[in-house]
Amino acid sequence: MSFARLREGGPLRKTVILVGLALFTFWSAAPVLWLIISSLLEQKALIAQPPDLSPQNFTLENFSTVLAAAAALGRGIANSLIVSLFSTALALVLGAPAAYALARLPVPRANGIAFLILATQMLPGIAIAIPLFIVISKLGLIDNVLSLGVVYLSFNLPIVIWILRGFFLGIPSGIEKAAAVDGAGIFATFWYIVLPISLPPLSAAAVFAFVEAWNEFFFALILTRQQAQTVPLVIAQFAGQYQTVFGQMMAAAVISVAPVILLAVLFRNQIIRGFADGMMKG
Amino acid sequence: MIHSFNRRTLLKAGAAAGAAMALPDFLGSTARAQAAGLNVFSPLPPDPAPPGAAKFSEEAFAKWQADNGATVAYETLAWPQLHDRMATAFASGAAPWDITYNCGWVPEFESFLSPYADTLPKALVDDLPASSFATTTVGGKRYGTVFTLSLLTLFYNKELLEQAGFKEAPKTWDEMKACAKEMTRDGRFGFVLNYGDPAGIGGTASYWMVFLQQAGGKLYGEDGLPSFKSDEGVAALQMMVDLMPSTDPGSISYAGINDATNVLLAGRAGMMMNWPFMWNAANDPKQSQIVGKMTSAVLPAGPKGSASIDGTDAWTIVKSSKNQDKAQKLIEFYLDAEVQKRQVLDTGWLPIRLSVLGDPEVQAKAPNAAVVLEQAKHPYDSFVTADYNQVTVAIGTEVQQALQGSKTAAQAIADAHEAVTAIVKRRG
Repeated sequence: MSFARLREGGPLRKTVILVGLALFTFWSAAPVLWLIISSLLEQKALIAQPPDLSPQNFTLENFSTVLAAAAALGRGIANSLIVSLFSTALALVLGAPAAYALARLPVPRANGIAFLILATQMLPGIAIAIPLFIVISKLGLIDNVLSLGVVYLSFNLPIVIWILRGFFLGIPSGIEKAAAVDGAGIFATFWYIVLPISLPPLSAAAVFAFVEAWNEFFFALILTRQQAQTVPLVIAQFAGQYQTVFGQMMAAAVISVAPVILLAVLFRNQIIRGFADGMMKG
Repeated sequence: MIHSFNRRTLLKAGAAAGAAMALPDFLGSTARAQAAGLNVFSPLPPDPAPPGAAKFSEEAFAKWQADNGATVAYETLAWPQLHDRMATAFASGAAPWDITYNCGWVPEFESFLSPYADTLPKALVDDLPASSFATTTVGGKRYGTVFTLSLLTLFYNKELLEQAGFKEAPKTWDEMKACAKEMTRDGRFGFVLNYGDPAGIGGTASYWMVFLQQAGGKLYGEDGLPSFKSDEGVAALQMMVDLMPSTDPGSISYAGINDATNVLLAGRAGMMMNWPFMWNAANDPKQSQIVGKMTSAVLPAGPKGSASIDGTDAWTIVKSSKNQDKAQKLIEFYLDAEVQKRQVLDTGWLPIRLSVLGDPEVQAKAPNAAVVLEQAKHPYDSFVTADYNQVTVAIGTEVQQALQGSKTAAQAIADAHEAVTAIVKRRG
């Protein structure tokens, strides 16, 4: 159904659609709204049932407490930014040519290789935790943000390859043939023709990889100590054995989620186009 | 004056620059060689943490470091993540610590730890509850020292109890059931606990172990095989099942004690078993809606009396540490009477030293200390083994089924017994 036909519908039809969209928006945004609300509530108001949302229970104390201990959170955000950007950049640099090769070049058993790459994602992290720890430890790279970034590459690279391969498969072959007629080789075609028209899926893959790295917890837990701790570890510190300081945890989450939301807002058009163009054709 | 820039001057300049760059490192390493560096792996406060990581005895801690020529570096982590990081580091043979916190994991990590506690000063050992070494002793060797007396006791809302027509805390199972039943009214429940996670100390299985000991049962017999398929084992589970109509139904999904504690602090339940740390939380107006209403008591007695389990927060020394003596001295400092006193006064974590527990100032500041001390006169075995996680999952999942009514207590205990027997046989 086109928007033109929707626009032609009666007021009732429009109202139903608007209400439906509003409900869907609320449904999607509710967890984030609750995150913000609970970051502003006192602990005793949060544990009441139902939560006591009286105005006197709202406070900025959770934020001031978290910011007073800002060293850990600030370092966590900085580490997460470095790890996520490093891992995402590397995944794009390595993943885009790999995806192009698997999609457009005469690689023997390209589909098999692609599925093998996907299969690496089926291995649970815990299965490789100890061997990985030994390797990183022997290299003296425990508690190092860049080594964490390289580890994250192992799950970001397959994601990038799969998103981009789907997009590259959908590019009309005539474009590449025309480039070849003009004398462009494989690398020139890839660099000057394919990449410039692949910005939406590249952006989508980048955001996806960035968010994956930003949220990762398990490998950050075992491969860092104090200096390279990332944001998820810092947030988890508000949950102890006997006590969870929900308000402060939520305040830390609100602060730390800001860069990711900013990224999603800045690249929202590219993300939507990228997923539509890439994943659907995969 | 014009200097010619030839190969020799370049080499000289390079050597000078290299020396200048290396000097701070050299001086640093010399300083480090003089002051032993101790790495301590500890939970983050407000979970139990040592001076320097938590805010108490900081001056004494600085003095200890100066007097002993040692620098102590803490690696702190939220409690729920401690075990996994330790397990990975130990399994890979690259544990970087001299001292680690332990919580019922001593049998699991025993091969990576030193049995240092066998050589603690007699005066110190005599001032510790003998049973506090139960969870840190493997093969007759003591690998750790518990530093806070953390036993489950009964916490109850005095106001709700009185409204239900009772003047004092229940002392027996029957009284407990009656209290819970009467307190279940007006949208509140008589009892709450976290039955959502079967595993570990503080998991569903460990709560059943409390009732098991109160019934007079043991988890293992003299031969090391499970011995709980017995009247005592079934009676313990039946007691938990009987409490269920008066128990907050959310209990079956509460995975951590935090969840159950919040129900009590919100005034939505009347009683629960909990650890001593609960006292501070219950009396903090920012967290609790029942400030001044919370009281604690010894756990109600079953057919064989009261019993509990031990939180087992202990300090252990890593076998690969190159500073074994200094590490032991540091643990002795953590257990120093004055440090132990500040521990309870400033953080709320009870001391383990009997002399400090009996200190009037301590009892005034932590009124539950006397209750915990009284509870310690009764059995409190947590039955920890190297495969404790497997054992508690096997038992806990059966207990959960009985609590949800999908199995009878007798059937659940029989099935749990069979599962644990298989686990024990695999120990070899």
